[in-house]
Formats: sequence, C-alpha cells, structure tokens
Amino acid sequence: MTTWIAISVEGMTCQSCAKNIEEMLGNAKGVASIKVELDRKEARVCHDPTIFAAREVAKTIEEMGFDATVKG
Amino acid sequence: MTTTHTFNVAMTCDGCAGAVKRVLAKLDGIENVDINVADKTVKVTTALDAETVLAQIKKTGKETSLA
Ligand SMILES: [Cu+2]
Ligand SMILES: [Cu+2]
Repeated sequence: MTTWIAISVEGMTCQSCAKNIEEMLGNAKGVASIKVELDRKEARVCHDPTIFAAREVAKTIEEMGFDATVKG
Repeated sequence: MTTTHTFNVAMTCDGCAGAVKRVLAKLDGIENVDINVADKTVKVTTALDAETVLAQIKKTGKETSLA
C-alpha cells in the first residue's frame, strides 16, 4: 500500500537540484512516484512505508547535500 | 601526506556547489575544498584516496568523474 508524504527540502537553488532528487529517489525501491517543487522547497513522494520509511526518504535527500524534514 | 584531487562535477549554480560542499563535509579527513562552478571543477585536498572522495561526491546524484 502506497501513501503520499511531503518533505521540506532546504538548499535547492536550481532545477537541476530538483531533477537530481527526482532521479535519485525515483529509482529507489519502495518509491512509486516523486515530484520535487523548487519554489515550494518541497518533495512530494508516493512511497510504500513498509519498504522505504518516510524518515529514510528524508535521510536519502540529506545525504545528497540538502536539509530535509518530513512534514506533518 | 595530502594530495589535491580534481574532479569534474556537473554543477550549474552556487546551490549545486553548496550541496557538494555539504556532502564532502560529512567525510572525515578532508583538508580543503575548492569549487569552481564555471569550470565545473571541485578540488579536494586530502590524505584520502581519489576513489573514496569520488564515491562521496557521487552521493549528490550529480555526474562526477576524476579529472
Ligand atoms: Cu542546483
Ligand atoms: Cu545549481
């Protein structure tokens, strides 16, 4: 069962940052869909929490050099 | 003994450079990082071998190669 989560992402300044995150997470196991919005500083991720927990998704973004926190 | 390794990294702006910097800051044993966005180069002064640094920069998801 998949669910949508929102993650706030700090440190993105251009579209290539956003695309980078989309590509990295889009290929991850347990992620069904991802949309990163540069102007809203937000990544919306449709994931299966039993395979890839929200905290782990945020951690993956952090490891790419951004500040990421799960919203809500 | 430290060496300065040079990498070509697909960066397009200062934000990209910032991401590379923050990722490198997580690696122990880096003495200096010198980034040039216009040239798309990252110079890293360290006792670590180039492969280790390369693997770390690749975590940004940006295309990276040893210059
Ligand atoms: Cu960028
Ligand atoms: Cu950039």
